[in-house]
Amino acid sequence: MVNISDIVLLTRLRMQLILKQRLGLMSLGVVLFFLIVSYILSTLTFVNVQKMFWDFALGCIFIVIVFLTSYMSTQVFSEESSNKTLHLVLSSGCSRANWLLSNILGVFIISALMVIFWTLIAWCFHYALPGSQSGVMIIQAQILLIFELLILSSLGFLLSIYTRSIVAFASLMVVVVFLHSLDGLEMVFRDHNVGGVVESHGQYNFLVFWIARLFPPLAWLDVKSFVGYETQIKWLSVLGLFAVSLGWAMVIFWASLFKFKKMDL
Amino acid sequence: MANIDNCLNVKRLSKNYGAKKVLNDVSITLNYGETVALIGANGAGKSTFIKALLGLVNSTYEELSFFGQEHRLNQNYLKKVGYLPEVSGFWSELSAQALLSYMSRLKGVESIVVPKRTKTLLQAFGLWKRSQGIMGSYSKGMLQRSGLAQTLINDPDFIILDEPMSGLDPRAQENLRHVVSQLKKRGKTILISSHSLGDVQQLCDRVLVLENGSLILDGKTKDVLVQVQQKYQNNEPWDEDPIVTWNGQL
Repeated sequence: MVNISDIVLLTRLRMQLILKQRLGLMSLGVVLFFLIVSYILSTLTFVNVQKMFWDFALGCIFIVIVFLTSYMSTQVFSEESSNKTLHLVLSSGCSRANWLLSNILGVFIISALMVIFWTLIAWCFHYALPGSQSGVMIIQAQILLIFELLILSSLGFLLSIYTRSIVAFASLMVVVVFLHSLDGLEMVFRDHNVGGVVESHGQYNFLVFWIARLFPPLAWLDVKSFVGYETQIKWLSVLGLFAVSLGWAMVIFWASLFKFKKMDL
Repeated sequence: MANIDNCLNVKRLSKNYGAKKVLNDVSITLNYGETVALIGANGAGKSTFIKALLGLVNSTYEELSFFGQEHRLNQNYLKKVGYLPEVSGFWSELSAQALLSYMSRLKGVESIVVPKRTKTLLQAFGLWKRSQGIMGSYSKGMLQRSGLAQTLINDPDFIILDEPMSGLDPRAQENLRHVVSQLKKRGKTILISSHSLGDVQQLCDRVLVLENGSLILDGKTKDVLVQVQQKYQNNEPWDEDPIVTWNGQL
């Protein structure tokens, strides 16, 4: 049974615990360092200074936040069960579904707030550079990154419930790279008969077809597709991608809950 | 239909870990206001039994009800239960005050009474001066007292203490005995898992004895302890224990 007050309380607790760890401060330091590097690199170029800055800045925010969210989401379950705080919460009448949902939300909200905060810092940097840049594409790219974090937060919990946290973290990293590389995979397996070259991989096309449709569409949310910052994505498409991401997060949540409910603590 | 006259009703509760049967058709009833000890050797199933009561491990049973509410239908009764685990859980980044604040809200304590109750408990357990410090810096005794404070924050009707004396120094043990006897005076129902027969004799009205996952004795403290002592005096397994034959050489 969903208990909103329990969920709000535990989400707040999770966020407070993450903020009290040094991890958040450390990653802010790393992001600031890379933003300064991005700024210096962009001043060295003679072409599109703004594009150069945003390429590096968004890339660094993406890498740091994906790493951080994956780490946080895969650590919570093992930490809470080893230090027995999970027992404390569950023996207080909070259901396992509420615990899981609130902790996923806690990790996701903190990660999303970090993305917003870091992007605002990058925004301040870009004013110091010559030229101008349309902000809409940057905002859209960061919105897509936040959608991805929703999938990653839930996927991290799923993996950590099924396996050890370190294995879960490593697996999640592999999964992220794999799912962002679906375009690359398609290239490998594509039937290259254009230009007279016929490859033998055509028979595996069905694999790419199903992989691309069965897994969370991280490739769709990939920033690199939009780094041209020239064509704005339709807001309806952004909404559609949100629906797909939310759908995937829910599927992953139910899969985690299915296992979690059967576990002896 | 659950019996509302009893605080706790358990019928035929069993738990297996793979092929190993850890709890074997355990049936008990606890009346309101009773202080009951759960004793048994290490591995007898005491902690598993307590965890099964709280839904922390999945078990099979014919009936499991607290205050007349069936466990299967609703676990809200847990908000009226206080549980002190054998190893008390805590978030090292939080202070004792923050822990009590979170736990009280989780257990549905009215927000208006939380500050006063938190202060009363922290003062009573000698934690008030350090209540703003993070729990990662507390000693074991302080952590145990914080654990006890969170157990009592919701003024529970039913209190479960899993080996509460474990790891405490004699003074802390004496303090804990005092706390239990005060709770007993206030008419709380208490289930204590313990290895100390002295504590059981001093604090409990009734004793349950678990052996290899089965409830083998259930009765008044005086009667059961006599039987337990007789059993251990004639106990063969101790003589068969390999450690008894070890001569200290490596």
